[in-house]
Amino acid sequence: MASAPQLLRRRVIVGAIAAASVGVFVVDNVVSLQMVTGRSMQPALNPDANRLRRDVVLVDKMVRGGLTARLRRGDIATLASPFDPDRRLVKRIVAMPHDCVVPLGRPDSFVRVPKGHCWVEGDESFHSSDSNSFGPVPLALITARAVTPVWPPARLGARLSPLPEWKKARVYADGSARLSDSPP
Amino acid sequence: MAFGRLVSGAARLTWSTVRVAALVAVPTACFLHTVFDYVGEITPSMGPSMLPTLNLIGDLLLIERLPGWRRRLRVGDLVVYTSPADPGRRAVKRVLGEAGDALCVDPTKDRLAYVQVPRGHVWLQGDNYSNSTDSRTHGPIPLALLRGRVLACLWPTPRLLPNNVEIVPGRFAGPTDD
Repeated sequence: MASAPQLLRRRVIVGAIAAASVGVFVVDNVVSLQMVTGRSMQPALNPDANRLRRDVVLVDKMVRGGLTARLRRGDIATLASPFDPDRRLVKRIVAMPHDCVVPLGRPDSFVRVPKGHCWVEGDESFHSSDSNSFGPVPLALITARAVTPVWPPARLGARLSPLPEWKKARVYADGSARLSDSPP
Repeated sequence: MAFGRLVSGAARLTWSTVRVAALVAVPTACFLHTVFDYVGEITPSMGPSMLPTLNLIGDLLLIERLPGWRRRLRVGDLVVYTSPADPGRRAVKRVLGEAGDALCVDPTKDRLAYVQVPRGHVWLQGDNYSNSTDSRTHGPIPLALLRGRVLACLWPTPRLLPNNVEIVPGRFAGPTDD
């Protein structure tokens, strides 16, 4: 028979493991906080040029793996870099599968986004390496969707800006109608 | 009287069910999910693309996913990956090229094409070359799409699946002109 203090210790250990695994599950699969570094999403994220001030963003992890239909054009997503599985990129989804995109800097050409892929771009095109350099990326690389900034506190709950109009003009939804012409 | 006792009994039963779910079932499920994500899991696989290494009608495979497993991958390892063309589809393939390797896309074609595997990518092919959708159609696969390394087959014939690919040293001569 275990004595009372031993029983208590056992309960504490089991409780801690249970709490930790629920926590890890939620952070991995439901909702989490992420720090954004770099300038590629200015002015939606990190609007301040000061490198010491970084936004912390509330992210929705249920879109992990790109399986859900909840990902839309214009969503700000974090994805695993195609060139380094341990690096996370923060980009905006500009086009979804089967859309046609006119790449930046090549106005006379267009790219058809293949099945299961998406076209991602940073808002600050001059400080961003994105689909304009490495092409469409698999939706399965997406790890999360940004919901709202939570830090700095002044911007808590701020709405993230939608897809800029000039970018919409470069996207042909399903390869036919231009995104900026379609009714909202 | 009897009706009241029935209601209170039902309420107590509901409450105890909720309590068990909250205190036992949910943490257990989360614990198992976390172990599957960070240690490994057992998963079924099916299809003709890995014949004769794996069965056509199905195998239970032991998948390893310990931290850093992507860095330990070598040519010849069996891996599970998510198809770039369909995020809902997983498949088992063999690593045939690492970042920096130059290889011929398909030696059976009349016009031979050569690629160099980019940084952070691998070249995957099924063992059944004539019936496999792999890097020959998708191109090099980002390492982030790999979901685990196959260690063993547990069912129907339990066996280890070691990496017994022998790498013959040589120099890549590049495309040759006939």
